[in-house]
Amino acid sequence: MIIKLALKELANKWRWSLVFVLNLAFGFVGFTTVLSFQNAIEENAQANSKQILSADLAISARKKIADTDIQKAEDYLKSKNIQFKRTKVTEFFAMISQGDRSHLVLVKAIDNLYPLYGELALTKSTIKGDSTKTIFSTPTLWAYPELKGILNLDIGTKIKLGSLELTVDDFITKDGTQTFRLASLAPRIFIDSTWIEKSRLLQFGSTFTEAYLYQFAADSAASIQKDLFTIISDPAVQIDTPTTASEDSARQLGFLTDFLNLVALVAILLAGLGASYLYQVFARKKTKDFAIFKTLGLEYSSLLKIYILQLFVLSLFVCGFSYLGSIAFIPFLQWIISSLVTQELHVHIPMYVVGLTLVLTFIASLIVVGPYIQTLNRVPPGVLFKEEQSQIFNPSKNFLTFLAALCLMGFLTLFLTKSVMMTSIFIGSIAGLAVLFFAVGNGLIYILGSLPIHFWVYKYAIRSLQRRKSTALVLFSTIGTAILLLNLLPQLKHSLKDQFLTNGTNLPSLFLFDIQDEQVDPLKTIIKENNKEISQLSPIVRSRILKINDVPYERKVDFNAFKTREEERDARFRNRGVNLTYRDKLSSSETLVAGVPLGDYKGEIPGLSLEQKYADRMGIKLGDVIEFDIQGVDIKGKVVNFRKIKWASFQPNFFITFGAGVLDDAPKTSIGIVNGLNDVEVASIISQVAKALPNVSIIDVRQLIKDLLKMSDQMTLSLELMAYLSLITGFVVLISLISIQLQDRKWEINLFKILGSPNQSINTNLLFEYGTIVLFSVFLGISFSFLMSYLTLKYTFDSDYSFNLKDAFYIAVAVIVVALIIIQYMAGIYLKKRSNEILKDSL
Amino acid sequence: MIQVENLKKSFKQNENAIDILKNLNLEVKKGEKVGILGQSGSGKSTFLSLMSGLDFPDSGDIRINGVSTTTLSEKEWTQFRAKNISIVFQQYHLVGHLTAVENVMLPLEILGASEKQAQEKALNLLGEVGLKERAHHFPYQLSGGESQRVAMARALITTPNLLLADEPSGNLDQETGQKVMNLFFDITSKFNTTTLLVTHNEQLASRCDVVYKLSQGRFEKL
Repeated sequence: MIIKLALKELANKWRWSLVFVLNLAFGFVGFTTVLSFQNAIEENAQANSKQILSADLAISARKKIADTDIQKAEDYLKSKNIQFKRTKVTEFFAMISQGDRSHLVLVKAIDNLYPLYGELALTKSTIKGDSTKTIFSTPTLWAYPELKGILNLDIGTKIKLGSLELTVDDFITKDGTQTFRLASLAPRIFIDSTWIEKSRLLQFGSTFTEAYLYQFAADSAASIQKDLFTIISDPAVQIDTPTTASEDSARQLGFLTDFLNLVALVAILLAGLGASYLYQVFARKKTKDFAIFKTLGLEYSSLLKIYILQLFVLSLFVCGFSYLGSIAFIPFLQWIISSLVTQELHVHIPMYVVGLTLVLTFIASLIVVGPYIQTLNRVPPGVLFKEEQSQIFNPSKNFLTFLAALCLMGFLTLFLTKSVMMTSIFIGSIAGLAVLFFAVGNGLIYILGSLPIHFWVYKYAIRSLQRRKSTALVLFSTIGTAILLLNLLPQLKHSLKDQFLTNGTNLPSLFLFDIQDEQVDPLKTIIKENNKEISQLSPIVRSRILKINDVPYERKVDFNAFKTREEERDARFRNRGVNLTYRDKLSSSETLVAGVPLGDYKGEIPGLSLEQKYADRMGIKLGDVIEFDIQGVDIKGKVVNFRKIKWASFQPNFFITFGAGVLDDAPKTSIGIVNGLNDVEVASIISQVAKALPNVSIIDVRQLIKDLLKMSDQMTLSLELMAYLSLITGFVVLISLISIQLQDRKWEINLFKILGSPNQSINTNLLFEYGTIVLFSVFLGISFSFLMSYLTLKYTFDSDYSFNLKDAFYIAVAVIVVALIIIQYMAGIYLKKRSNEILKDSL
Repeated sequence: MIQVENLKKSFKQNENAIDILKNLNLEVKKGEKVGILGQSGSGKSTFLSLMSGLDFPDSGDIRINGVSTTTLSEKEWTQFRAKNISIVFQQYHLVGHLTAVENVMLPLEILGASEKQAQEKALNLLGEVGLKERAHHFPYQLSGGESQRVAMARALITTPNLLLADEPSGNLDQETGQKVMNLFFDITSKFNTTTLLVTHNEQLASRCDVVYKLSQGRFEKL
């Protein structure tokens, strides 16, 4: 009987059921889609994990790994009777030249066993571990295809790499170790590792990564990794397995999917708001049925079962509709994201995503509905039989529902982004915005109510807003949030572009690094010959932290399965070496935020200045003493100040700086910048430096920014697509709310007609009422988006702000027009109806 | 005041046309109260819909105050109704988010009266129906009898030439219904309002000046 009653009611109220289902389904489409993408990225990374690492285990460091450490690792393997193959890869940045053209490349110097897993696809052949490799028999190289255009290369072309002259043997069409394009600062070339020495590119202080790759006979990499962490104590040495490598690889797109997830969550929130309102209307209509069932002797537990069963059935439909919606939506997002991924992503909707959507929809529905069912049980049937029951629903329950929904959102955000910081900011923003929207909405309705408006058409519209405040506020917040989201991204993009392009003259043209001490003067001469100067020349001293406040600073290894993004990042930060510099004065991109300037410090232990966020992550406070190992010499420093750095300035900046003089004698290289060059000068200087000083690496900053912006355009496009989905959800909510409300008010509209009001006046009344909500929510949404984008840029990017009024205007006009069309259309349906038809409906 | 001539109305049910009203004729004088009796489905409500312009006849004519309403467009009917006709429904149909006084004021404001004027008259009328102290209560705070009295005040605020009442006590218990109807007759007499009262209650109908029974689509004077 319970099943029959539950399903019959849903079937009888199929219109309401459909609107409820569509509302939530639209909200969940984005969520299902993004989760499917995330799954595809992770699946891809896992499936190719061994190819990405090209090994079962890799021991790597951004420095030369001590032979003793490798010996210890291999002694351990032998002691455990683990048979292994080993290959060594060295990676470093260098300039290659062809004719007058030069370009920065990432050199991968390999030996004959590479790759242990996977393959390198060349245009003429495919290279595997046991393949015969031409680069080992002749002075040749393999290059990434983008170098063809940049340096005018072809197979057989000769290039200069340091002191070497190598011939292009072939181009690489697919590199299994690279899954995503995001991190490629420079295209790669592959050479025989024996050329490193002959090239004379790696000199003291040069930046390079050394990796020993191992292939084992048995699959026991995880336990070996655990043991090796204790055997090799140097925190700068990284030990990776295919699992950690694939996680690293997937992380590269992680922040994009994080933001996509957040936008998807906003869509769910909007849909939830809509569903909550829809259920309030439904619940009001159900109260009499509830009273009838109660008086007929049906127990509360049975009634509860009816409602829960109904919600479950509705959740099933929501799940089904969002599944279908995702199938339609995935190709759009795939088309955008495909340009960021080198390997083809096979996106499908996994079963766990379907199950999760079902569970979440059900929980969300319970949160929305729970307070009403509980209230219905509390109120005696006699009261429920009354014509108007709106007063029996306590508004404080809405607040509790909101809190429960916020907790669910918090859990979801943490689950999806694995970032405590992001979750806190997101949930804090939602709560803050909800309070702001409700407060401003309330204030607005109060102000409208106090205006001396006497014409009944407007007066009764305002009265309706005042007396149906919860509906007005739900509409207000829903549209406002969608608008905020939609305008936030163009604002951020505009300001960042403006910062990099319009103010591009403030940015350096070239960024030079790996400059040896003896190369500083020749380099200065070359730049001077081009009538320019090398500026902000800063020494780099490589070191590693030994102790903080006399406590040995050891590797932080945590084998817990679940780690938040912040924990992962902190662990990565801890476990790597640090580059130090020395100077007394702050650079133009730095600001002192705490402590005394290094130049003013007169203590016994040399002073240290730390970047504020770096210090936070490392848990370092003012006054702490840090002990460094600099090429075998121990040096102590005392933290005397914290700095804030404007990273977007592309100036030579450092996390840790000593005062001038302390590290003068330490072995070092230098980095510097050159400003104010045009394209011809950039090409000319790069070419001259590459020829004269081949181991000095140069980044064309403008080109890098162009590449970054191109990539960010693709990313923001995918985010905008999700934001539009949220807006569509907002509109679906708007249509449902207005439709349900007008249906609820059809007698009121009819009464106006019967009392002699012309259709035009009723139309104006409705347009004024809903139009006011739309206009003000759009205005407020746009204003909040300006504020939020300003705060985001100021506190996250330290960037200047510039208003993008054009896009904001277009968005506002488009939303207002669409919303007014919806209102007009929905009102038209009821206005066209003959009074007599509505009269009959109500009898 | 009212002349109804050869009024016909039929409805289609599946393929068959059902004649609800067949050549209906009626004449009502100014201030007269006419009771119309009939069983459920006899066409009483359809007749009221035609009289109020909420529906249109198939043929025949309805003249109210000399105006032939069958020639009026829907827009003209709306204006005509606002000035001349008021309706009291069985289900009260008060606007839920408006207070009693605001509900009563509404028709007058739609006609263009000032807020002050409308409020003054509405409060007077609420006084007439004994609800002055309930003027600022919302419909959900009123009992059924009180709601119907508010509906009556709303119907009379424009001083209509014709008041149409469709089972006004149908939703009320006997005692309350009796009280409300006493008030209904008192107040319509006081305002000398021409009234058409549709009911199935013979006792109630007998309080009218003339009573007709609607049967087989025709009026039969009792």
